[in-house]
Amino acid sequence: MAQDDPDIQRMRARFVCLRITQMNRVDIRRFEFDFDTTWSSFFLDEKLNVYSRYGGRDETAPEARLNKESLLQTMREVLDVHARRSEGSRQNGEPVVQPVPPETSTPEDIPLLAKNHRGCVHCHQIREYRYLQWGRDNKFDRRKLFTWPLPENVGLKFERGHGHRLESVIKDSPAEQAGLRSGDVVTRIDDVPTRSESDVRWALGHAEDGKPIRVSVERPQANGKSKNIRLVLRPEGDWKQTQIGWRKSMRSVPLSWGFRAYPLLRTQLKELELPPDQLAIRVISVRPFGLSGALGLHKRDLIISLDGASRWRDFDEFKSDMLRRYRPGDKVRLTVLRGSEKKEFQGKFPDWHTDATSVP
Amino acid sequence: MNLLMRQNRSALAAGFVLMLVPAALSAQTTVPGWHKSLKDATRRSAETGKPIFLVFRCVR
Repeated sequence: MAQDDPDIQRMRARFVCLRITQMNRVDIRRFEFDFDTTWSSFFLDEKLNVYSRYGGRDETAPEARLNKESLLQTMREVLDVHARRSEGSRQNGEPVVQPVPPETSTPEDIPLLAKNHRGCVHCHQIREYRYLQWGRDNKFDRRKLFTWPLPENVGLKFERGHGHRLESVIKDSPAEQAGLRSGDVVTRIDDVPTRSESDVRWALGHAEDGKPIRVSVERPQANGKSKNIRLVLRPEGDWKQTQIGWRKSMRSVPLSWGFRAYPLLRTQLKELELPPDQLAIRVISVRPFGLSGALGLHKRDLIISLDGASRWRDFDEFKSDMLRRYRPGDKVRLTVLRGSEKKEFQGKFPDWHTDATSVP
Repeated sequence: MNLLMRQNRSALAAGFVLMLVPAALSAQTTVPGWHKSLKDATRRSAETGKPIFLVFRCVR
């Protein structure tokens, strides 16, 4: 899209364009994006101050959250702020560029990557090597899996064609409780100026757990002008969690599953006289350790319920749901068909694995 | 017979090299209008006054 569309091409002509296809020696603190995605972008000044970032995806499709109109919108806003930057580091009392940690960091600073990896460093490998390094150093924490929360997690539903203007506010959400309204343009979250949905997600991901989140919005007024309003979000619990089954880095989560499996298709469910939306994960191999060992799974077992939840999902989503639901030491309860017999299994969710058994 | 085998091996080797070339080129090719180096882009940005549009395109 950024390459071929004529409208984007015209807009691109107003920028200096830079394309990077490998992550070797890239400052991943300054250029922090969702490393499980295959495309992401930044808007910068000549000193590499970050105006905005654009990209990101969810579990549905790689480009579900990307859109020509929203990209053009972000580009217009960046051009505008860049043209007015002589006004100083703040405009209308708001910061102009996004905060960046003073110290740099590259993928090669991850010891396991530096030791094991040769050649091109792919984006997803950064996340994978981080997981393995944290596992090795006994520093892995479940929260590290959920770093790019969706705006919907706090009740913000943006117009796809704009990126950071609210199409609606989800009922009974932190956003509704804070007083946000449809039509509001979210211009800042904490100290992060926001010019895209990706900016909002990055800012939410960096929000400290348990602390209120400051939000600035431009609210349209009856006289055609807009008014700057400051509000506070107070999300609770595991609000950063999203479905992570689509992530390539899932394969490097430092957890010993101890089994491999695949989901049954509808035709297979019918043959077994199971409902079409029934959870049905067929175990194809087991090893006597990890989660499989704790639960006592056997090869050919058919998992039909996870702690009472029996909606159909594929194996990646099943694993994602387990990671969202359990912490090490929690009791896992599975219902399994072994042959024609229905069995209940219980076992402890294992500790994060601390040996790097494989590298991506 | 040996010659035939050698020729086949040479053909296979040449084919293998030809298979690699497009992959290597696609990883290295300069896309018109796009800089490949951060240094060049920042210098050009300072010269022109234009902001930078940086795209990370991970080619798996």
